[in-house]
Amino acid sequence: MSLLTVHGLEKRFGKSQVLAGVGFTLNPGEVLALLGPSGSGKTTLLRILAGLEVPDAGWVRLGKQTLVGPGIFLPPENRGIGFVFQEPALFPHLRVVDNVAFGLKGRDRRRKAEEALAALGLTAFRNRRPDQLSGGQAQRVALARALAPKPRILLLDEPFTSLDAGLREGIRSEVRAAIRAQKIAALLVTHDQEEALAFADRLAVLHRGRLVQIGTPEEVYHRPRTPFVASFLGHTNLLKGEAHGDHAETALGRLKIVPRARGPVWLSLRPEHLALAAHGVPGKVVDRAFKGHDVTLWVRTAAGELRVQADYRTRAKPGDAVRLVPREPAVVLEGEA
Amino acid sequence: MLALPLLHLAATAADGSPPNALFGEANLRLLVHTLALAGGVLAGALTLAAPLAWLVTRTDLPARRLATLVGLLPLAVPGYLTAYALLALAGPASPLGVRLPRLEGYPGAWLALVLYTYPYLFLALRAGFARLDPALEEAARMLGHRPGSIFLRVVLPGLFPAIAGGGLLVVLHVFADFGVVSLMRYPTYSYAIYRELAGAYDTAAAAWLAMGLLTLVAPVLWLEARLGGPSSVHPSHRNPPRVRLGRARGLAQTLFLLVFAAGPGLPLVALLAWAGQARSALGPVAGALLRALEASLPATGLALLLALPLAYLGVRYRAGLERIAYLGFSIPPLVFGLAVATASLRFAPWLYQSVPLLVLAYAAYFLPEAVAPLKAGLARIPTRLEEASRTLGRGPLETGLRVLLPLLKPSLQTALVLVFLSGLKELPLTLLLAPPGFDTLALEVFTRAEEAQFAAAAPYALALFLAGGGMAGVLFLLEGKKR
Amino acid sequence: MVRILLLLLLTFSPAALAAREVVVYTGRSKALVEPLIQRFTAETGIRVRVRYGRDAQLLALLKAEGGRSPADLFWANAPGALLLAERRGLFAQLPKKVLARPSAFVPEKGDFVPLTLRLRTLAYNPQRVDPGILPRSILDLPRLAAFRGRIGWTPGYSSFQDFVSALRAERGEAAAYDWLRGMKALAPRAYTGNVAMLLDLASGRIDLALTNHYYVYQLKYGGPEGDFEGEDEEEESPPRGELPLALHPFAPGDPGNLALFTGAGVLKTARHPDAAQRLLAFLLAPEAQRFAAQRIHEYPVVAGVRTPAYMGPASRALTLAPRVNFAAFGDLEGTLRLLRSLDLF
Repeated sequence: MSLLTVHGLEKRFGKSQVLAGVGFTLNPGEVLALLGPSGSGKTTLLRILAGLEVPDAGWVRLGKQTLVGPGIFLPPENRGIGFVFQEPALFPHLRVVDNVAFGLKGRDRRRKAEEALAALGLTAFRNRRPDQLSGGQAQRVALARALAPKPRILLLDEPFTSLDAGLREGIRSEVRAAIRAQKIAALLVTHDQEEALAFADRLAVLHRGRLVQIGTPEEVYHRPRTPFVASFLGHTNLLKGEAHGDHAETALGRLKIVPRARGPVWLSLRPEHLALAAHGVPGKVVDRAFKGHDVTLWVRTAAGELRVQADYRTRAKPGDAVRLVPREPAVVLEGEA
Repeated sequence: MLALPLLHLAATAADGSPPNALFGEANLRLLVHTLALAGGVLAGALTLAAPLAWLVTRTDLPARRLATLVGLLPLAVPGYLTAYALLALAGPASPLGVRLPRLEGYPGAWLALVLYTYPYLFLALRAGFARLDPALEEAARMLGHRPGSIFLRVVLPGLFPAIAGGGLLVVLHVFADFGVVSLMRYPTYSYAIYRELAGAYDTAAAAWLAMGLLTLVAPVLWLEARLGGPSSVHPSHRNPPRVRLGRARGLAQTLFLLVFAAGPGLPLVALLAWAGQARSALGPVAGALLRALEASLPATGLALLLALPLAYLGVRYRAGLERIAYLGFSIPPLVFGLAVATASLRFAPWLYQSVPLLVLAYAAYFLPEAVAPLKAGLARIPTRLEEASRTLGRGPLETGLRVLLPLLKPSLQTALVLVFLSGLKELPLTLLLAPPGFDTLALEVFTRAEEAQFAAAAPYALALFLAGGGMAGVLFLLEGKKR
Repeated sequence: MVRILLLLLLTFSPAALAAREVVVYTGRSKALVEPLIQRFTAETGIRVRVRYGRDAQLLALLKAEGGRSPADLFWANAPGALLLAERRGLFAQLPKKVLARPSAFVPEKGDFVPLTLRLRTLAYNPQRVDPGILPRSILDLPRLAAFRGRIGWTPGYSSFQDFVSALRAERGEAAAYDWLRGMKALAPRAYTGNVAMLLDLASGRIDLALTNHYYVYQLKYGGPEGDFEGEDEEEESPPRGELPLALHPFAPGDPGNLALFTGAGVLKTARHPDAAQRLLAFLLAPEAQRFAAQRIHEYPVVAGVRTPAYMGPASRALTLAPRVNFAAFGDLEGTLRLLRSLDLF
């Protein structure tokens, strides 16, 4: 049974429709990443789940309890949901340990706070004031503070964006460990696709207030449903074609496609699914970027400029004539071409 | 409670037809005087308050807490007393022994009012400077701006909410002032109201004029709403670096000394000299002090209690409700007092002529002095903190008590001092609403000053100054010692 | 037996107990009222609770309170306020015994009594002005062109307005208009208060000031500080501070010497009318009148009370003052209309 069920959420701020019928479920122990460009409604969705905004329509259920729905609104303090904001939002008048103990009640709140600090290796900072912490330390204290009351769900609103890459990876694995240890679920809002791919069990892509695709990172990456998902998640080459069952005629010639389709279609072909070869579609290298583990080439062809992930040994440089072959079937996207 | 005086004002005005003089040339001249004085005093108070506030928040000035106290002390001396002292010091029987130049007209009124009202801006700016993120100034410097241009383009806009809040109080005080402008012979619009009331016994005409004054206040409130609007300034976790004054340190201290000498210093010297000639016992002074405290202390508490939700609604929901409080403040106190009396007689006769009613009236009347600093303080607290508290299982009330109140401490302190000092100095409401015989320090001072018995007034005035200054001293000198 | 019981009942009834108190609303300063009140309480055991304010404020408050007013006595600082209160029907008839005390200024209706007198006067700075050049009549004051810009007056102050009312009644509307216009041509400096004006006179900022006589004595000889012992004070307090202030009396009967009375009446709604009348009687008794004369420097309204030598006796003050019909002070509106037509109010 799913832990969190979200159905038909709608929210409008003035004239702009921020959420237009969003629904999904979250399972125990799962990390779901909400991905989307800024303004897609991710943060609003999270704030509705936490009870910091009220939706215009739809409902949210946690276990058997309805958090919000027609005629029902459970205030945030009664939801048992943890929230980590983009900025640490530590209470400036409280020491670190008092910040962590803030959400705890009962006699052993001190001890629980100390435990939460210890779990994230923050014991040394327990007596500091928030203004004496670095950004990374503060964000980890915020995480400890959110986890200390043992929430059923942890909501993370782009909590890692202000941290540098090294810190980000460290704190991510700490979150993972904590989620596993406490057997809770987490919802992570991010616009960083790599973070979403690496961190989440499932991905949900929001676009203009709608949930356009949800699935495992592999599914979403390899089988994007719309041109938006295909180009937002990683890089891709979009092609027009005329589908005839398992193949399509395109400017690059006849390509294999998945799934089967007929008629005019949009196709996605990832850069790493194109290779340089002795035969194939002719083109001319326009630009080249060395990435260490591979080389990205921009090749002008009859189908327009294509992005190609080439082997790190390739010598092709701007101006060279090359030929391209697809290594995987192109993915058929929704919507008419 | 706040709408009542407005209704009463309208009802009183409806009793009579608008005086012909309402839009007459004479009143227009008074209007121009009022606006010119308010604008000038605002500019002067800002010019004085900004550097002082900067010195106590951003530099290594020694004894900053003491300097802060000095900066707000003028509030502990009633404005008319300052004016009387200036007058007496210019006369042949000058208590200083030296005759100072007699200031009068616009310059006299301007100077006395600047020295009397700048603390409102000083306190607001002091909080404002502390809130500015130093990173913004650093960023501007990296973009190649000189300090002057940084101040104008980065610091000043960041201070707008503080300037709007404090400036509003300054302007409203200038509008309402009668004591200073009449002694300085620079009649403003409040003179027209006084004239109808005291000279012509015509409350209806005075009410019409008071409504005219309200039409002046409305655009000021609108301006405040514009300037004090949403501030995108991010609260900073970092304490701004303190500027080393170096050799300028002496200069800065001299500035404070000068401001003190010209502000509360002059009247104090006169008071001390007069007190030397007085032959009054301590008993009556203590009694008057106790009565003043009995009314102003609970009123201060009540005003803070009322102001908190108002300021909260105003800042978080932009309800604009708190502006009603300012309208009440701009009604002449006599009209306000009569409204409270009438309402109490009709709805709560058992409250009439009781100290609780006086407390209620003080609290309602001085509400803006509590709302303004609290608004500025709340605007400085990110909503995130409240949300964080809510997601950590704390309800709205608990969030208010455990998160907002501790963070509002400096603002509460400012509000407390402002309302308390105003209550201590209050006269017209006390005259109308206190139980007969409940004579406060302010009354004892005024009744004697009015009869030119300055020596007899001096002990009471000194007690008033010591009580007000003492309260401010306790709050500001002990501030931060607990950490 | 029954009679004794009745007597006991009367003695301890609420009415009798309440008679131990009286509530006064006064437009006079506490400094002028307090010593007298204390003396009254010490003598009679009646507690007096006083609300201080200005005449206008208290009249407005009395209006708002209506029948519920706790006030027993209204003690005004100016005849205008007393006549207004009379017109509004606030005062109850006073007993003959009280009305017989003052030697003048008792109203026909007999609903208030005068308590003290103050004279309008011309004050000058003797260091700067030779009194020989000052006119015998206030009506000639506008001719002193040399004092252009150096005369102080208080056109918004009730005593000044009462003077204009008297001038209108005595000499006619046209004369009053001409005088005001003539004065205006001298560009007098308008003040809202007498103290500020006289401080300016003493410091030489102006040379002449139209004021009430007692402000000058207040500044020169000090006010009623300390407790009032009630004894006939033989010594007069020596002048403190050598403030260069002097009074110039106009010729006897000149409107410039107008006598203005302060006074009080018992309110119709009074809950302690008897105590209030006792207070009135006390204020008219020689002891209180002497206090007014010696400490406040106002003239007494009852005969036979000594005044300090520098003030001259009350009888002389009354010969200086013009005879004016009471009704004159009642037409405040006409006076304000006149002042407004000249842009003086």
